[in-house]
Amino acid sequence: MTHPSLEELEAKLQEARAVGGANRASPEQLRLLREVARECPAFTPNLLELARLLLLNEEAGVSADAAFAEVQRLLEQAVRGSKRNPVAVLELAHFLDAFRNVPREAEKLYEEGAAGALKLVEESWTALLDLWTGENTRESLGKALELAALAEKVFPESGDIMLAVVTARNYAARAGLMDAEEA
Amino acid sequence: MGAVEEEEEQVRFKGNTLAARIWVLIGNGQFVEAEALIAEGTAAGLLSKPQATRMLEKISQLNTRLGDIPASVQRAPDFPSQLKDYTLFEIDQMLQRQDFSIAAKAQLMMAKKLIKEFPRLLAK
Repeated sequence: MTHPSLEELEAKLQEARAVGGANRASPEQLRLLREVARECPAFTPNLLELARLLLLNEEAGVSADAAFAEVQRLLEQAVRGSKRNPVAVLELAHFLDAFRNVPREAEKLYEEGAAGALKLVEESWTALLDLWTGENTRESLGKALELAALAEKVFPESGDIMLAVVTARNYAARAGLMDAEEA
Repeated sequence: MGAVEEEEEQVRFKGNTLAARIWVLIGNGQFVEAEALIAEGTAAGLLSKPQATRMLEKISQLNTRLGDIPASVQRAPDFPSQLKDYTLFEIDQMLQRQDFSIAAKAQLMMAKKLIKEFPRLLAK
C-alpha cells in the first residue's frame, strides 16, 4: 500500500472538518480522523486534533474509560512520532494533570515542554538579533536593542544570546544610537 | 513629534499601573470594583480593548462553576462532583486557606485544572 501524500492527508482533514465542527464532532468526522490516525500514525496534527475532539465530545456507546484510554494512546503516539516536540509533550502533560490526576508525571512533562520551548525562544531570539544587527539600519538596530534588553534578562547564561547582545550594542554604538554610558 | 511620543509614553505608563491595579482586584475576587475600573479605564483610553477583553475573560473564568464545564470533561475518573456548585475562585480560596472540609487537596487541584482545561481545548 502506498503512503498517502501530504495533499491527500490535508484534503482528508479538511473533509473531516467539513462533516463535523471545530469543537462539536460528528461520528463521520471522528471516523475519518481515526482512519488517518491508522494510516499515518506519525502525522502529529491529526493525532492532537482527534484527541482534543474525543475529550470535548461524548460518543454514544463508548465508556469514559475507553475514551480516556484512546486519548492517552493518541497523545503518547504524538509525543513519540514528533520526537518529543514541546507542543505534543505539553498536550500529554495537560491530559495527565487534568484527567489522570498524576501531577508528578505531568510536572516532569511540563518541565520538558518548557525547556524545549525555551530552547526555541533562545534560538529564534539569537537569529533575530543577528539578522537585525547585520541589517545595520537605525530601525533594525533599534529593534535589536529592545530585544537585547529582554533577551539578556531571560538568558543570562546563554553564550549565543550574550554574544549577539554585545555585538548588537557594538553596532548600535558605532551607529551613534547609544549614550556613552550605555555603550 | 517628540511631544506626541512623550504623551504616548505617559499614557502607556499610566495604563500599565492601572492594569496592574485591576489584576490585583481580580486576583482578590473584587470583581465589581475591577469591572468598574475596566469600564472607566477603557472609556478614558487608558486600557486597550484587547486588554479589557482579556481581563473580563479572566473574571468570567474565575466565576465558572465546576458544574458549568461540559459533560464530556466531567467524565474524568475521580471527578470531584461535590465541588460542582463552586466557582474557580472559591476553589482557589479553599486551596489558599488549606480548607479541605469539602474536598481533599488533590480533588481541589483537579477541579481547578479541569475548569482551566476546558477553554484550552476549544479550537482557537
